[in-house]
Amino acid sequence: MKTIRTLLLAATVVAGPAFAGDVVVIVNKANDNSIDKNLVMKVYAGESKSWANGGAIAALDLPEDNPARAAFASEVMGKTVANMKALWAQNVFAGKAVPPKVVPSDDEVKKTVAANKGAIGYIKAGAADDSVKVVVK
Amino acid sequence: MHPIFSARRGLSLATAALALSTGAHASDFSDRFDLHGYGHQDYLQTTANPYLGSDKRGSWDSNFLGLVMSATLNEQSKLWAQLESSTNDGTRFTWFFVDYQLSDAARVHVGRVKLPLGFYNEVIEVKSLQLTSLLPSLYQTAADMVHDSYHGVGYDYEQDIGAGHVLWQAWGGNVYDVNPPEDSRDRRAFGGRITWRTPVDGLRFMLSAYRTQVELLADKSMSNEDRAIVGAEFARGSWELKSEYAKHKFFGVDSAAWYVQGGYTFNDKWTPYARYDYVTTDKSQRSDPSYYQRTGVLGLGYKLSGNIGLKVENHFNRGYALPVGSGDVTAGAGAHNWNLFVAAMDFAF
Repeated sequence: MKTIRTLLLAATVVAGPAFAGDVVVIVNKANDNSIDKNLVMKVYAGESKSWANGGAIAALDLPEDNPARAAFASEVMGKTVANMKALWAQNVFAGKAVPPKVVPSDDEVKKTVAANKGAIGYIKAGAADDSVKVVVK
Repeated sequence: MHPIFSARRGLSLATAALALSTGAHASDFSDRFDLHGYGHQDYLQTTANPYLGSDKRGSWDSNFLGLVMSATLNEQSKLWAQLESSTNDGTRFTWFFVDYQLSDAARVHVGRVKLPLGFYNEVIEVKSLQLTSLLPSLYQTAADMVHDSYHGVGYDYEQDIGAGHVLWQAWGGNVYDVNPPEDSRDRRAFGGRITWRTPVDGLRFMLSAYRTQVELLADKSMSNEDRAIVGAEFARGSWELKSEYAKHKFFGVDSAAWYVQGGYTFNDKWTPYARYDYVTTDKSQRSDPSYYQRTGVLGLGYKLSGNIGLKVENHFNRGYALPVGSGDVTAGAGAHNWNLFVAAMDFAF
């Protein structure tokens, strides 16, 4: 019994918090703006809407049941998914900004970002490939 | 309004809300158009001093539905509008304006715009964003400390400073009054708000004020009416703490209000909360219970789903300035000590 408990504990420790350090932020390969975590936070808080080099920012989100969304909220934004929802409700109902467009999967995020120079999104790290540029790990 | 009609209307709104809320996301008709909504249905029971639609037997008369629409006109500009329907004010556009992005940091809005005042004014009816069901006294119409919107032009500027981030807002125009006073007109106004988000995660400070110039019809004279709110907020993780102080001055009458409130959310579902709230609608008569009100609020919120919330709370009141300010109770004729119980369902999508 003790061995099973030890194994379970070890498995929990190895698994760690869901997707810890496992989300990356991606943009179009032609996007030559300087992008850091601070800018990403401003985009996903509704404070930045256009790129420094011109053009509107089109931010993308994943569905609430996608574990990468919770990981992005905590690792990049320092918030919970519920905090993020409240923040965007505040933006919408105050007439300040509309929330990022929700696309159904990592693949859809990649496709949309690869096809749209102004797009920005996040996916789990393992899903990134050379169709997009990783800007924040 | 007839209670049966009102109750039916409330139930219809609640049903519509539930139907809409089951879709987890906004109705996204296209990339250029966005539609969101929110609302609430309240049950109010009071031991005395009925106002806000409450009565001693319990009333379902207070309900609200709001729709917020935005349409992207081009890369720099967006059209915003909010249509709302409530038992108190009927159906109307609370605001509609064009928002023009001058740069990533600066934007201008023109039209009927939400008035930037305090922490709550831009989302004054959005109960899902508020800790308590009933707003702090200073935001209640009876206290006459805030207006919803203005007709005019506003300018916002976002600035990163060494110690955090500042949002500067300035505006000018005419305040929009749903029920303007009969003895005045031409409420020209200007004001602004400064919001400082400190480097401490979740800690914000705010200072806001505006002046309206009111023409008194009796003698055609112009008089200044001033309002100001300062506040602090700490919202991190499961904690929310907030406090604001407001002042209002008009024609020699000073009024003031302040509150401090806090809540903690367990398991993303349960939120017990408390508030202490004070208002005086005339500082020269603040020892008269008709002109002051002290309220302790204890309540519990429950998140039924991501879009629907329930709240129950009790307001322990001393003094009855707000029922007098609302015109529902005559000064000198109210009960000094009284309780107001509120149960509410709110939703947003």
